Amino acid sequence: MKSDLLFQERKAASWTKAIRIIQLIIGGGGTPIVIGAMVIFLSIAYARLIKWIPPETPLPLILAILLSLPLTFSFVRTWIQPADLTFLLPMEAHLQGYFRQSLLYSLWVHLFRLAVMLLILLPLYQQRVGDSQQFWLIFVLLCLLQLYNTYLSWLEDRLTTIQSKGRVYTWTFFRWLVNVWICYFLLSKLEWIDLLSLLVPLAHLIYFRSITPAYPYPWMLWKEREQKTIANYYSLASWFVDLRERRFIVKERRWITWIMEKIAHRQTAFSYLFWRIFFRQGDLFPTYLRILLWGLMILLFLPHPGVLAAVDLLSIWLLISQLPQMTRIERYPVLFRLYPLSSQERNRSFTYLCLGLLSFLCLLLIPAAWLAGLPLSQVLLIQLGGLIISFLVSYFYLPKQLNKIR
Amino acid sequence: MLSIQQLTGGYSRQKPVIHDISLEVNAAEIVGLIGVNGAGKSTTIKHILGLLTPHHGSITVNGISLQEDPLHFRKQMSYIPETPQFYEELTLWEHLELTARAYQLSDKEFQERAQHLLKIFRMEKVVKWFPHTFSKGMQQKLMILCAFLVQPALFIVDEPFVGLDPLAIQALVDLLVKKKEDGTAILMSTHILTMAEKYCDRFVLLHEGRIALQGTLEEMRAQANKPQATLEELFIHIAKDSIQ
Repeated sequence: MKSDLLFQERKAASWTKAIRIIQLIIGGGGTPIVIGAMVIFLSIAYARLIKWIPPETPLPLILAILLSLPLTFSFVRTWIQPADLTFLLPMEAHLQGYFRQSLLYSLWVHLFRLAVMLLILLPLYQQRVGDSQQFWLIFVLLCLLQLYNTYLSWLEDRLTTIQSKGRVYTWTFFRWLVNVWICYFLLSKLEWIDLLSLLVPLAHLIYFRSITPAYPYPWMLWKEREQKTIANYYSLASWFVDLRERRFIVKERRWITWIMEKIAHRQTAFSYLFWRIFFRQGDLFPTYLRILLWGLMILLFLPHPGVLAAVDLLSIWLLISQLPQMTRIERYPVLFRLYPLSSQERNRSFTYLCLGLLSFLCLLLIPAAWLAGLPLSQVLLIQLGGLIISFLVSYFYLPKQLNKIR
Repeated sequence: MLSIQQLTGGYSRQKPVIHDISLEVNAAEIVGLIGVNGAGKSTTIKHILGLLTPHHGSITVNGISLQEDPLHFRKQMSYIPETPQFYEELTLWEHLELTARAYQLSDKEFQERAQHLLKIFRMEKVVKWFPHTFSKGMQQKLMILCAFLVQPALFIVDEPFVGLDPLAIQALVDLLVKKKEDGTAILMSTHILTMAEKYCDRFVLLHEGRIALQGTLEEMRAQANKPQATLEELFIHIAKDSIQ
């Protein structure tokens, strides 16, 4: 088989799977309504943000930093599987076609991402920075910059085989600086002389091509990155649909362990396990923080008692759709089923975890809503309702869900 | 200690994997469970652990079955699986702490046992590490540490030597022998027959889901009518007979 066909096959299989998951999301319960509501909320909040930003704000610089991040983190998607380290490795010298396809595919995806981001930033740009004509010229130039970033990211990956991680990270940092610099000049002045700035990435590119070895490829890096990418996609999709085949990434988060040991030294076995899983399983804790952050942002730009109640309900719904996955027996080692502990004990520990997280979220929204300008009495009343719902959900709804899962 | 009577079972009621298995493991005894791949060793172990439900027959530990008192049943045994299975989210030390909490060990018991085990398996330097960064042998040591931390009345040990270095194998054998002398019952499935012959008091040789030979080495020799045979020769004799 030609190696480029192998890549095409993998890409097609991956997209077929992704489309199936998207169909599940679209067809599932109230998810489209929730997504729609969130889009409306965010649009209103965005419109208010544009009006609210003070005139003296250095918007070109902020936009340059925002744009530089996706430009810099332009990783190439290779679909390298763990088994490839055994089966494809001996064919390394014959895989140019595979990786050429991979590079091209990644470039298109990065360009699409850039276009979406620019489309989102367009209203802000038009209102506060420049006109549409300039914007489209900037778009074309940024596409060239994206080309440079995708290719450089590919070369940086390959340099990891001969250079230390620290050195490669330094190069990535340099690339980020170049991106910020060019984006800033494009957004702030856009004079023809600025096009000379593009000579820097060109020189960078030529130099990197000269120092990057043809072989070996960084197989381990690509394998690990592919696993992380899949885990991230599954994590995103699992916000909306139940995915049993989901994979998890572990992050240590030592500072939280330290706090847990100080404040909850005598946890039961299942509480000990569940709290650690909650904080360390790559996406659960960040999801919780994201929900909290979104809630705070929406409240800041739409300070209204109804919005506070909606944020409460939305946050509770998002959390209770995520958390029960933690209790799936099949994701634990066999030891989990052999402990001399009852299933009631397991459910109780899980209930405490949910109640703790939901209550903390409700309580944290009190000062936020008050600072956003809502009357304290109304805020307290609404959050009392939120706490009651949290209690009812944790004690009555979630245990039923756990029994269904098993 | 462990009593299995006329156990028939497997993954599907239509296709039982093991048939009419009866065996006993007494206190202060190591019983070797041996047989070719697919003979039914792991299925038998899964039934003992309560991970599969018997189609027929009974399994009791000190006269109590899993159905009668699941917590008491489970508290009496510890299991070392063939393939290391661990929590990705916990460090080595946290695995030990979790095990101690699940089996309600006191702090003093936990600290003493954990430190002792970490020392003899030379794992003190990696207590704060996550097991997915370990080699296969170190992961297997983690399983052994968790099992021995509990000090139960019955050990179920499935292929414990796979992936271990010679020092760790010796440490494990020494521990098993010590536990046996202290009165613990041990059921050990293994393919390392020289090791089994040296350390097991009795054997159960499974073949195609049934007990082909059972007893001490002398008794099995008599059953197979091979008075001079080693355990390995008996094993090959049973396996080859079925091929012919």
